[in-house]
Amino acid sequence: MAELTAADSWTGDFLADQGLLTAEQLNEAELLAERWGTNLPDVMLARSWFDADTYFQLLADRFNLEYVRLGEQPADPELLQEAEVSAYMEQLTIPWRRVNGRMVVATARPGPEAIVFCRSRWGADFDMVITRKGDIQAAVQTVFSARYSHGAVFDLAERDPVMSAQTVFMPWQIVTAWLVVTLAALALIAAPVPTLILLNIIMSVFYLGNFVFKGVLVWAGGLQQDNRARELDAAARMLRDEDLPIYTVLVPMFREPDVLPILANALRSLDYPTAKLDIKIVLEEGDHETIDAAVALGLEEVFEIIRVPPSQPQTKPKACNYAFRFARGDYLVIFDAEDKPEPDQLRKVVAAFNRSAENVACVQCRLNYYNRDENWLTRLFTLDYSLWFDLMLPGLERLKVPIPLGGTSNHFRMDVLRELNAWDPFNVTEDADLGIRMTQKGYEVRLVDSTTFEEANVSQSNWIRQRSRWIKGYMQTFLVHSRRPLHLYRTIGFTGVLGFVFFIGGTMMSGLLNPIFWGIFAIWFVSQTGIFDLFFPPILLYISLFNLLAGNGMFIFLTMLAPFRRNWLQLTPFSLTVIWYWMLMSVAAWKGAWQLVTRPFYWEKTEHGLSKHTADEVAKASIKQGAAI
Amino acid sequence: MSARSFTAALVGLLAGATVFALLLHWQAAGFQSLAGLHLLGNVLLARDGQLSLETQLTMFPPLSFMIVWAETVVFPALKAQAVLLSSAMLCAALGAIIFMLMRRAHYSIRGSIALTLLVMANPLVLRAAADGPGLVLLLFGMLALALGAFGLPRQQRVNDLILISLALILASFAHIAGLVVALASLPCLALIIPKRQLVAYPGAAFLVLLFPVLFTLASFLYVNWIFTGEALHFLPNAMLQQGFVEALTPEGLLLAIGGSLAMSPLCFALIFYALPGSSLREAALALIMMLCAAPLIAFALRLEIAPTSLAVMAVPVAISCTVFWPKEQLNPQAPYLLLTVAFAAGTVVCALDRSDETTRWRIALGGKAVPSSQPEMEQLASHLTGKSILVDAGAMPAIVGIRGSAAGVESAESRAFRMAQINRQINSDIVVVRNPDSGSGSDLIGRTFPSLFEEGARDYTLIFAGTKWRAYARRNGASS
Repeated sequence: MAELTAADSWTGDFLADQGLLTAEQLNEAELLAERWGTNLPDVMLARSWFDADTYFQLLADRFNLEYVRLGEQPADPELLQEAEVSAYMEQLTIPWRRVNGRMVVATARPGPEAIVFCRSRWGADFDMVITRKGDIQAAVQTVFSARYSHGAVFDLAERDPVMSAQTVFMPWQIVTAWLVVTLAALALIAAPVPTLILLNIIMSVFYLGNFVFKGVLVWAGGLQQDNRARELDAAARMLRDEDLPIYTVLVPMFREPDVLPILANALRSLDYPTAKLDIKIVLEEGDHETIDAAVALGLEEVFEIIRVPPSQPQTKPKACNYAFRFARGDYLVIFDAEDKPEPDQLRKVVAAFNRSAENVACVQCRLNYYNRDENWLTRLFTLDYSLWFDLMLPGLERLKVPIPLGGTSNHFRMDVLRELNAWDPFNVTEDADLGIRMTQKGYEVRLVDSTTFEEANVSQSNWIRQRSRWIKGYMQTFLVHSRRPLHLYRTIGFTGVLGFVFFIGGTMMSGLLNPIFWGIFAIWFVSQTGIFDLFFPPILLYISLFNLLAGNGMFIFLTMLAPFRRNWLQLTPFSLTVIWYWMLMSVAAWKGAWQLVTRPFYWEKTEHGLSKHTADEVAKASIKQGAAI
Repeated sequence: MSARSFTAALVGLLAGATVFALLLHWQAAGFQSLAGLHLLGNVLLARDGQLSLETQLTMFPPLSFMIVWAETVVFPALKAQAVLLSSAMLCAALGAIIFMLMRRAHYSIRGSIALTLLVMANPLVLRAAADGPGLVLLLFGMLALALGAFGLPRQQRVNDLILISLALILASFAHIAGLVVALASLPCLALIIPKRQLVAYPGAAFLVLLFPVLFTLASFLYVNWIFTGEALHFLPNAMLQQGFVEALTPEGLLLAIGGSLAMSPLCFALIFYALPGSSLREAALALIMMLCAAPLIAFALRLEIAPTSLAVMAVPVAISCTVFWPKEQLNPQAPYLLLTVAFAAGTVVCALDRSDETTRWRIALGGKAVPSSQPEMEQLASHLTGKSILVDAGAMPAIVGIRGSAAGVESAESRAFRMAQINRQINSDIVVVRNPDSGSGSDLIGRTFPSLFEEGARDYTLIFAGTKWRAYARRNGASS
């Protein structure tokens, strides 16, 4: 354990003398600071034992320095440099003004480190004033807001345009699509039956490949999972608090004031030194409702609110792109507002990064639902997620196929995130896209056996909205990464391409194609018509029949396997009704496809907080919130 | 290819080549199983277009038919040896898999080779190979079932669930004895399912394990219904295969159960010496119960399955016991000894099995000429040499297997037969008809021409008269 510095000891005694701390609080803070390897004020502020204004004022008095509020006495924008922002945020120190030719810096963390930092930047000739941590962030944001706002939208598109979904269809993609459609139309006119047979063969072979590939994934994913999880558990437990890095937690929210207490409560429950957390609640500047709710909650100092200036497209990745520039952590994770990560998740991820190769840039944790037993849809959604995160993604990892990251609980190395220009704001499944992009750039994604529980959609219309966005995003991702097929092959290899085609392409295509085959089958079943015999020569008939029976049977079986790992076998019988869920998925797929053409960047907002379970959680969290403040 | 995979392939190749050489040797001595001949006949008919698509798709059990059919597509020159080669190739794969499993279970290379040899040379395995690919496939199914049974309670992975589920499908669709195994496994699965799941959600746990086999069976019925309009269309064809061996007698039942128990010293060792509370004990107990229940079910249903075909299922169980043998707790050398005991037990079971097929196989094994089991059919086959032979081959595919070719055969599903039905006139060089008073009754040709067996046809002369079959040939000069 790191011992307290003399300055910290003095500060503690001073605050106790002033009556701002009880003796018990002081003892607790000293113990925590030693255990967490952080400084005493951070602990006390994290615990909200006194008002930040009072503390910084006292700090200024203690060092005989001036205390300034940067909102009232703003920093000189000419002095702040964009390239230095991450250093400013890490040190919580910025150049404030020049007074009589002498540099004056504002810091929220006075001490030897700040002095060393200032000397390295401005030489020995400087003065210091004290300010609040939040003021530093606000000052940086004020100066660079326009630039960051532009960067959040256009950095990727300008620096790596081929990887951006800003252009939905490249000209050659449109020409190719036009050629294919024209040729198909001509062929249909010239030889309708052979053409339909050929199209039928292509679709049938695709189906066959799709379900065989997914079966292989589940098998591969099941191997050796538990051994790895046990090893990681042990490694995470062995981590000492003082060895843990600063961790940035981004929580983008939009019009979700009700679930704020759940989030605050879940983040407080994390088994991670609070003073080493850099939590940023990312809100749209125009979302007054949520901003007001966040302010009214009176969250501890550890929670910072980042207000994202309005610009188009108004998407979650754009908000994250804006906010991550203020991050102080070595690692960064994104949680949704209603997320409840398992308390040891951050430790496990740090352990996973420590044990991984240098090129592992992201760790994806599992997602699942806390309201799984609420209704039919939540049960099926839980089965779907369990299959995806517990069985298929581990399969992708084992087969070294690019992993499309899930919506939240993906943990990044900050340096890589900056290098890759973070998320694509034009892609509505920005995480899936980033996962593929990372692999193409030579980085790897690992999975960690820690779960974040979310709220499953309870309403079918809301679910279709959410799923249509996901499928549209998969279409965007597919279009972006198939722009350079050779490059894709060279960077991710044959298995990677196969996985990309079947996992990203297969997921969206099966949703689009299913209704066609279901329709044919339903018409034939009801009418016993021979009209389709022409398009189903014997060999194709067998493949189609095999796909119909083996494919559906296997997917139902895989869905049954999904809850086994978590011992949620009460969900298993509901797998038999998964066909209706697939129908909903097809509705979503067609909606997504339509939107890809008409409103490619439109973010279909999923409404959270509809679940009864969430209402209960909010009530519980609000009580705890009351206790916390 | 890794060194381990290469060695496994080599071991498999050697095992397959040896089995193939033995099968050819036994064939030369006059032994070929009726099941093999029946299968070969069906495949030859299918390849020659004499079996309708409907019949092919509703063939039961379908897996061995599909394998041999695919093999003849890849190697069109293969005729009479196709079934033997399928068996040998499956034995090669089995040998390679056993070797891989042993290596993964940390047996040395020499140890793994020795264990593979002990298994593959077991007379029961050789008898199964001689029976045909169906029984060898069943060994694969049983191996998967046994591996899953040991793995599931111990590792609680979905992979073991998948193994068990697929094993039940494989067994059910490979051989009639596999259906019996699947039935026998039902109560025993309770010992394999992890306790917490069995206690909390017994229905769901059984649903996961049984859904694939139930869905596959339902699909098979559906395919029958689609192509023939009858969900149970496959049954008459499947029943044709009954009659290859005698129904299980009380002595046969005792031999099958006694043989299975004698073949399972490894299982008993796990039951009695594995740590108390160990999942190995319960899995071993479940498998022993399954091995004993299968002959009982076969006996109760009066199924015609040889005792050796039931006892051989103890071999994959022994392999799984060896793979999961707790070396740190029990003597690591014991599997070698106990597999040798199983080898001896297999020899005794084969020696004691009095069924006709096994008796003939033993004669071939001794290097002596084997008397024919179907002399009438063999004599009939030797007369079928014309350019067009009208015969309800679907009712006796073995005759095509004995001929080694379907050349000239016009089956009851051929255009020639349909024309004969419409015109009430036969136009083939030779016509074969079954005795309506035989146990099986008239065949399709006999039903179309009811007086044919007794009276023959105009312009046709009797060239073969057996108790069950007669063949008539068109007189020279008669118009077609």
